[in-house]
Amino acid sequence: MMKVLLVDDEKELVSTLAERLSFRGIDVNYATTGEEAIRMAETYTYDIAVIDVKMPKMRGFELKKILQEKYPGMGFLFVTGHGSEYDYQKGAAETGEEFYLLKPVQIEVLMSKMNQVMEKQGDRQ
Amino acid sequence: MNPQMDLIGRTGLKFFGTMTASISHELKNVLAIINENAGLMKDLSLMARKGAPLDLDKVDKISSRFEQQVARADHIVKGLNQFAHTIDTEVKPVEVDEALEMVLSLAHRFIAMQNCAMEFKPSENPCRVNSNPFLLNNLLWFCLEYALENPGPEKQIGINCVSLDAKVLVSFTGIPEAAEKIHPCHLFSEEGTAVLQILGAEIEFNPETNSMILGLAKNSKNP
Repeated sequence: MMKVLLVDDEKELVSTLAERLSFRGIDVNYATTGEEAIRMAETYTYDIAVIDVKMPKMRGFELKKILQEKYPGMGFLFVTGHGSEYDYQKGAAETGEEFYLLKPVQIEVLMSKMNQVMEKQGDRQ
Repeated sequence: MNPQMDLIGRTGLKFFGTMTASISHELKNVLAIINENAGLMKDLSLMARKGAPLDLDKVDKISSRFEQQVARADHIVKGLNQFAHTIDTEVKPVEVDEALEMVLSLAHRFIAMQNCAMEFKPSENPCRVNSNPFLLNNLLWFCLEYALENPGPEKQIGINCVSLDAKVLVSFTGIPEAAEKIHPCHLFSEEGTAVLQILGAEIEFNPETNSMILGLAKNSKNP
């Protein structure tokens, strides 16, 4: 079973999304800060972290860097509330992030992207 | 061209862009929460059709979340509408407390990203100035932006207003003397200086109280 860590400072969002993913057979936990996510990753092994780009204190890309160093096998997927397609393209280009989704995210799209991340991680290993 | 309108053209568009970017990000989060809760309702409905018992307490909880997010969006949009109308009048009486509350609310997401605690204490007495509402908001934002860029080690910014005979003073505390003009921001740029001048405003630093004080003339000379 895929083990997923969701990280977003909007608790109502991340808790509901976690519940919906669990209905789809995914083992999921959530954190509302980068620091909390780091603590959780010390306790559990996650296949993927789905991270909001813009969070107070620790930004999404900073969190990815920390997690990636500690857990090289972990895959990453970013979500963002950037308003426009232009922002999205710019953000994705600047970060070089292939797996980058705009809010609001459709759960089928999220599931599909998570599977792609898993496949990519599998190819690497 | 009217110098105020010229200034709004030069600096105001940037300000408007920053505020609307902050708001659109906030609204995207509201939509994302509504989207997930609508999806959760659909999931529960599908499960109920397949024979699983429907948890009515959960349905009530989801309904409450919809109501909360609609109220949140309504508050954001009201603020945006109020902000949009500040451009309607060149000069009018403005309550500085209310203007500050509006700018803080508009830039809520932007401020949250800066890792600073910001506490605004509204004045007990009216702090009214006769001013250009849009440029005044722009100037208050320049001050907030400066405060966010130059906080003390505690990263706690306090804001309060006081009304004097001919002036309203807005204090931004928690800014150490050493920080003065380290990160110049817009406040000390050509644009900031022009806004200060046109509104008859001035900036002082008080190292004893670790504060930056914005002095606003109750009747600006050059509106």
